[in-house]
Amino acid sequence: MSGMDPGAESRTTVSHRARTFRQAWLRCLAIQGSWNYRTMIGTGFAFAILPILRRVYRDDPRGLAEAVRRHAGHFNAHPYLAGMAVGAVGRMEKEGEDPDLIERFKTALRGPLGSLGDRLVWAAWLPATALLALALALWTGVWWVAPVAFLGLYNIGHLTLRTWAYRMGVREGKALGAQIRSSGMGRLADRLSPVIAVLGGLVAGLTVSRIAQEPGFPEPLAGSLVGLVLLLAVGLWGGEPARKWATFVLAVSVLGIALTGVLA
Amino acid sequence: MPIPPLPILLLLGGIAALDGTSVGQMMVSRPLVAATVAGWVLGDPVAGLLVGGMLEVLYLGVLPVGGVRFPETGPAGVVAGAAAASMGTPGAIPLALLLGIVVAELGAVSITAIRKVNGHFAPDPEVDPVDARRLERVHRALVLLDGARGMALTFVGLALGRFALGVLAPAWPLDQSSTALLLGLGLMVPGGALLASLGRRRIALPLFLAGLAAGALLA
Repeated sequence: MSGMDPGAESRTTVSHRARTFRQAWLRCLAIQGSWNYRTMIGTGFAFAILPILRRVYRDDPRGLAEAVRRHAGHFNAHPYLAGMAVGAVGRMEKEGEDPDLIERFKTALRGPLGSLGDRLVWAAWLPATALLALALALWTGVWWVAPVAFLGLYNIGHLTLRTWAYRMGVREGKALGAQIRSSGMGRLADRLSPVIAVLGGLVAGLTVSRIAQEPGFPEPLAGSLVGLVLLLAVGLWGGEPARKWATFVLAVSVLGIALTGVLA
Repeated sequence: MPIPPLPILLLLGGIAALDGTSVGQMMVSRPLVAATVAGWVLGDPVAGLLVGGMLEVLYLGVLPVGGVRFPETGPAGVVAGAAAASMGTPGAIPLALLLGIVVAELGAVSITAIRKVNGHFAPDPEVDPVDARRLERVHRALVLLDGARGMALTFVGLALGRFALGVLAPAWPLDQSSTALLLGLGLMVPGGALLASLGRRRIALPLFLAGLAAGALLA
């Protein structure tokens, strides 16, 4: 390499570094691949950060083995935000931070990255996009609108979040904690809640109207509507236990009705 | 030569299982997508969408957080969509929904089992030295194992559907409108529970009712 000009050498290094970080981002997509009750996504975390570790410890096989051992222990986070931890820890490894500090940093990240991701993605973004896609399909009457709109809308947010989180981790390193607090992820989740309520109503209204427009649908709907509202209220005040029971009752009712037909 | 639907459905089930947890989480595993695609493979995407939408209402409020046991909707969506599309009788949708619920619960059991298997094979840094190459091999192998689990679960679901629904579907005693009413009533409680999961019921309920009125006007 002695004949190489310094500019070209620097560009090659930057390109290698970018490739390494890209590889780690891609591996974050499979961070839950070996999910287990002992280390949770710990093995996946080590798998994802490995390209960065290989670069940091490229001339130190014992250092690499020790770093892999440290990162294969217990870890958990929301899968979309786990990349934030991978990026930040990768940077800390690159800067030669004390392993004990890195371990404490990972431990401190687990809770916030789990709860923020669950609130923002599973409890807000997922239902909002699914209900919007269902509403669009019911409104247009075109079947493929539902899966296409849902996958498109959902994954715009999903991939943006993954990329933003990973980049923020790489950029901030050990200063990540303060940035998470000021990121506004929790506020965004709160703002989506009313939107989900409106979309849920929209889907219910469109569905009931579509069913009522079916030819041959019986007129005396008033009693059924009272039943629908009462059951909605049961779900609203019963929450998750009511959902579990209703799913069970629905399954048993369908089976019972079908068996009645067989035995008749 | 056209490819027979069974291998395609098994592949879909495997992809849906992987997408649920192990790789991507692009939400191909949501029943809204998995059931519609399975219905499309069998020539009736609308039946797939109907049952997929209902499974979505049942399971949208379930949060797959931490180590909790949760119904697996990916292979269940594939099986339910395929069942709904292949029957073509008034009982198709409720029976496909029932099959989807059963397969989702079987999926929950199989996820718990595979997580225990994963724990057996995942390197334990407390006990052994961890080799980077071995860790990569194990991780990739466990991803493949999860895909195989999804395919096996889909196969079991399709076999169960062929056996049980072959008997039950022709004898379904309700007409189309009564069936729609039954399903509408059955989905209201989960719909309410989804609203409850948003918190602040006093705000959520009026907004839901406003959406309901808008939906009725738009239809």
